[in-house]
Parts: sequence; C-alpha cells; structure tokens
Amino acid sequence: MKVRIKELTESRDTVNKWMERYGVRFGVYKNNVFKEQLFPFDPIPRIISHEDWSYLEKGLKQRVITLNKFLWDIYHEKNIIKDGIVPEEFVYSSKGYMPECEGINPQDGIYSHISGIDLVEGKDGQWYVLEDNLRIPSGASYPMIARQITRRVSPATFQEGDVAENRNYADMLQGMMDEMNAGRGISVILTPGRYNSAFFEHSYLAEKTGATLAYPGDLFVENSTVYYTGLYKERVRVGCIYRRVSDEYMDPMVFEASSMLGIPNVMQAYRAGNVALINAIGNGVADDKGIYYFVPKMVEYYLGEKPILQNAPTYLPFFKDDYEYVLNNIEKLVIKDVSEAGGYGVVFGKDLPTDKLNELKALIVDQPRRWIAQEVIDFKDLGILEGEECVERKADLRAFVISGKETKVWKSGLTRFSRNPDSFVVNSSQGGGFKDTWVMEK
Amino acid sequence: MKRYIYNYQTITTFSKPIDMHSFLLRCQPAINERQKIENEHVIISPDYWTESGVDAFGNKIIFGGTTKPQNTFAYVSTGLVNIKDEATEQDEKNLHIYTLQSRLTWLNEDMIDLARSLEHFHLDMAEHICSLVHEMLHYVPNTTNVDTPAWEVLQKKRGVCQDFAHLMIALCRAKGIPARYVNGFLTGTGQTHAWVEVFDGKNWLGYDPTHNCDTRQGYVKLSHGRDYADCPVCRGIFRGNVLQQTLINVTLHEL
Repeated sequence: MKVRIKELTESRDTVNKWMERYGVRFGVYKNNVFKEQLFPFDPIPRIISHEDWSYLEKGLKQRVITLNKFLWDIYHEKNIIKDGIVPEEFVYSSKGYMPECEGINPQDGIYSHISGIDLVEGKDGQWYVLEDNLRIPSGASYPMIARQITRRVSPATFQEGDVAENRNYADMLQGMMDEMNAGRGISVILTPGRYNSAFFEHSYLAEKTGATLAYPGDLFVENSTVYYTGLYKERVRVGCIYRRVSDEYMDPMVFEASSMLGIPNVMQAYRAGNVALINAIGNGVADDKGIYYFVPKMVEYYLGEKPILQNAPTYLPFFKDDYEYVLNNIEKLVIKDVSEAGGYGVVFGKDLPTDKLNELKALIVDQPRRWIAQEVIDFKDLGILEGEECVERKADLRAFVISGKETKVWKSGLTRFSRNPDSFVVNSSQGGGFKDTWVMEK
Repeated sequence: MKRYIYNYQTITTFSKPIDMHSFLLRCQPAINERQKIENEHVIISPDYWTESGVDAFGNKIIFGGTTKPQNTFAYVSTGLVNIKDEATEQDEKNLHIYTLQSRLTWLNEDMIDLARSLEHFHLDMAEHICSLVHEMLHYVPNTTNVDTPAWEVLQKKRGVCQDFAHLMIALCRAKGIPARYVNGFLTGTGQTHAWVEVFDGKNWLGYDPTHNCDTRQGYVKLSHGRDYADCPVCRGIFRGNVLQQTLINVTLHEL
C-alpha cells in the first residue's frame, strides 16, 4: 500500500488547527495552577502490520479476560491468594484495593469494561506490556478525532489503503454500555466538570455515543435506583454510568465524605444491581505497579494458558533474589514507586548521581514493597516531524480493550511520544504529543 | 445472659431548609455470637425514602434520602438486646484488612518508636497496650475531631474514646495483632462509645482503652471497621449553606 506520508505531513498544520478549533485539549495542574494545553498531533502515523496486530489482539484479549477474573476473585473467594500465587501483602496494601467493594457482583463478572494497556515495541520487534490501566483509562478520543480530521484532509489515503476503520470506537462503547445497562435506564457519562484534564474527551465521547453528559449534582439515588435530573427537573432512570470520577469520590456515604463530585448512596444502588458502573470501583488493585509483576502468572492460573504478551523484565525487591539484583544493578534499571501514578514516580538509575542512588537504595531497603524495578527496554523509536525535519523519538501505544458480553480490542490506539529526545516518559501529563495508530487489515 | 433495653435518638435542626439530603446510618445493634436482638424499631423523619442492607464490613445499614427541602432530620433506634457475656465473635472474614494500618492509624516515627519499645514479653500484648494507652492519654473532649489520626493523638496526649481506640488499634497492628474499631453503646454514658476488638487467632476480644477494661459487661456493639471512617453511626450530605445543631440522647439499661 502506498501511504501518502508526504500529503499528511504537509497537512500537519491544517490538522492541528482543526483540532484547536474542536477544543482538543488536555488540562494540566502545575503548582496548583490549571492550564489547558493543546495535545500536539504528529501527522506520521504509527503503522502496525496485520501480523503484529493479530498477535497483539490475541494477547490483549487474554490479558484483559484474566485481569477481570482476578478482580472477581479478589472481591470474592480470593483463591489466587490462598493458592499462593499472589502474596496477600500486594493485594491488601494496594491503595486500589477497596474493602467496601467486597462481595459486590458486577454484571457478567466484568470489572474492567474499558482497559487501556500500555505497550512498547522493542528494537528487536518484540512487544512488551508496560502498564495496565483499568480505572479510568483516557485517550481514545484523540486518535478518533485525529482520524476524522485526517480523513477530511487526505481522503485518498484511506480510500485506497487497508487501514482499519477506527471511528467505530463509539459504537463499541455504546454497545458495551447497552449490554451492561441495568433496568433499561439511560446511559450517562459522569464528568467531574470542565476543569478535569480529560473534559474534552468526556464531552466528545458523550456526543459520539449518544450518552447523556452528566455533571455532579445531575444524578441522585432514590429507592436504590439512580435518576438523572436535568434542566427541566425531569427524572429519568439511569441504568449505566460511565463515570470519569475516581473511586474515592464516587459516593460520599461510603468513601471520601466531603466529595461533591459523587452520587450519595450510589454504592447501595450498585450493590443491589440497579445500575452498572463503568468501570467498576476497586479496579486499582489489579493495575497496581506491584500486581503487574504477577499478571503472566495469573494468565496461567485462571486460563491454564501460556501468556501471549510479555511484561517488561521486572523485579520486586519484596522477593529476596530480586532485592539483591536490584541493589546491585540499580544504575541500569528503571525504578518505579508503586504508590505514585502519572509518570512522576519513575526514575532511571543511569540518570542519578551516586548520592541520590544511595538515597534511593536506602529507601528500597527500608520499604521493599513500595518499589518495582525494570530493565530499560530499548524501544523502537518512531519518526516524528520536528519543524521540517523527521527525528526519532520514544513512543508507546495505549491499546483499548472493551469488555461487555465479549472482550474486543479496538483496531487503533493512542500512540504517545516524548518530545524530549532524552526522555523515555511519554505521559501526556508530562507534555508529550500523539500520533494516529493505523492497524493494517492485510 | 443479660437483657438490655436501648434507645438512641438524634434530632438535627437546620437554620434554613436543606436540599437533596442523603444519609447512611449504622444505628442498630449488631447480630453475632454475643448479641441477639429480641425486639427493634427504627423511626426516621417522614418524607425520606429508606432501605436497609449490610455493608462490606458486615454492619447493618439503613440508608435513604429525600428530594424535598427539610428543616430537621430525626431518627430513633430502640429495642431489646440479649447479650451472652462470655461469648466471643469468631468471624474471620476479611481478617487481613484489620492487620494493616488504615487512614486514621498510620504510624509516624514516634509511634514506630513507641511500638518498638514494647518488645518485652507480655502474656497479653493487647491488654498491655490497652492500659498503656489508657495511662498515656487524658480524656479531654473537644481537643480532637473525627478526622484526627492516631499519631496526632499521641502528640497531643489527649482526646476522646475514638482517639483512645485509634491509638490502641495502631499499636496492636504494629505488633502484628489484627485490631478493629467498634462503635456502640455503654451503660450510663448518654452518648455512643468507641472501643477496640483484637483477634487472638480464634476470637475477637473487646477492650476499652478509655476505661482500661474488657467489654464483657455493659457494652452493646453497633458496628465495626478498620477505623472510625468505616463505620460512623451517621453520615449525611445535603445542599445548602446552613448552620446545624444536633441533639443526641442515648440510654442503655440492663433489665
């Protein structure tokens, strides 16, 4: 297939201008000041071959099905702990474990309806999972809108090519919400409001799925049933809430008592099975950086299959062998603080001066459970357009997996890159950009 | 076996009508190996929808709300409960969550030092911690609030029953003893009380660090959790910028 890269690169400014007009933004808090940034789009797509995709698709399904089984197990029988596969310290001391969710039965046993699995491709062509995001993974809207605009700018590319359609994300989401919907109510997307970093995405997905965009205060519980009340004080039964509010703010009767973002007593409606929460509450226990280490073992435990996808080689100082290895090889490893999120708690041993390295070692000795260490993967760099020049930068891929009655992988994804040539950290909250991801049908 | 009659009533008045009030109560005696309910009634302000259930910690809950503006919120919980003084609870469900420190029991350096100093051999470590906490702290109302963590209590050396309980729980957990927070009634106090249950491998044993005694006589349990935040008697939220005044009256009598 002939990819009209030249046409696309020439159109870069047009696309970015359209995205600005559509309000494709990313809000960030720095030093307590809220700033909205554009999320810079790079016109050179990441292209994933049909062969690679078939492998990834199988692996992603397997991984997400496993993680859903793990979540059910943790909030019910806890067999994986009893059988000694995952040590209980890693489960119960995880911030994401919510004892308030013990014994709740989400429909079809699905906890992670929308999973964002972060992968990188090594120089050797091997893919590695870096992180599972099972709470509120964001980012699908960016490749959706980028594709929509690019198609307008360069229609020929997509007419002739074998690039898989990605504008079906909204249909996948809507289909899943309909399947999960309890009591034939409406589906809503609950946003914390316009100062949330992903507000653009909330409103965009609401528009595309036909779900109602609900703000805090629009939803209330009566007789363990959730209702939406809008401008005209109407009262409409709600069957499914795709909530973009964190677990601890969802119900002030059960979690953070001062939360104004949540829905009082929604946990009782949820426990009674009268409303679906997308994603379920308490998922953080399965995407904890410490639990990540155990995911390949979980695949074998729950499915009796060999894991298809690989983790980056990971060490837990909690285990004695790994502890020795980490302390002896710290200068070549990447160290992650399990209790942090968003790319702030990640340090590369090679970047630290000796005194800082020793400080870090002391911290690891003091609280081994708090840290994981990984080998630095030699990512395959992707070309991005810097001015008129094509330069190589680190990039990752967030693949989106939707789990309703069936588990499906979206044939696209968010490719994020670091704009800083020396940085491996590609989080959008750290100022990177993104690309469209093309999955080839043939 | 002893029989107790209890009556808990509370009325909150608001300076202006409040809107969209929701509540969640844990105001009924627990049912377990020690406690049996002979008779119970709960009365809640009219205009509210209410339902009952059980929370993830095993506590009885009543929850509800109203969309009509309200000037007051009142409820009464009353009944007869039978208590087997010598029986213990033996439920091991979710034991693990009571072995780890929780939000209100986090250890700071001072507490870690204090826990380390308890290395001497004690036949009953929990009992030892109970009397230690009782001796270290002074009962002084209005010096702490419901969100005061145990480390701050240790710093101030004063507090109320909730604070005594949190400090004891923190130290027990630091010594590897599973411990949980208990809310309930105590004869002759006029308000709700808080104490501690520790797990000895088979039984949950009650200790009251405020009074430095066990809880076999005169204690009726309502609920338990990792700390206060898991099992308050009442939680509520409403819209409106108002002043509120709450009157609480508790009686517990042995018959």
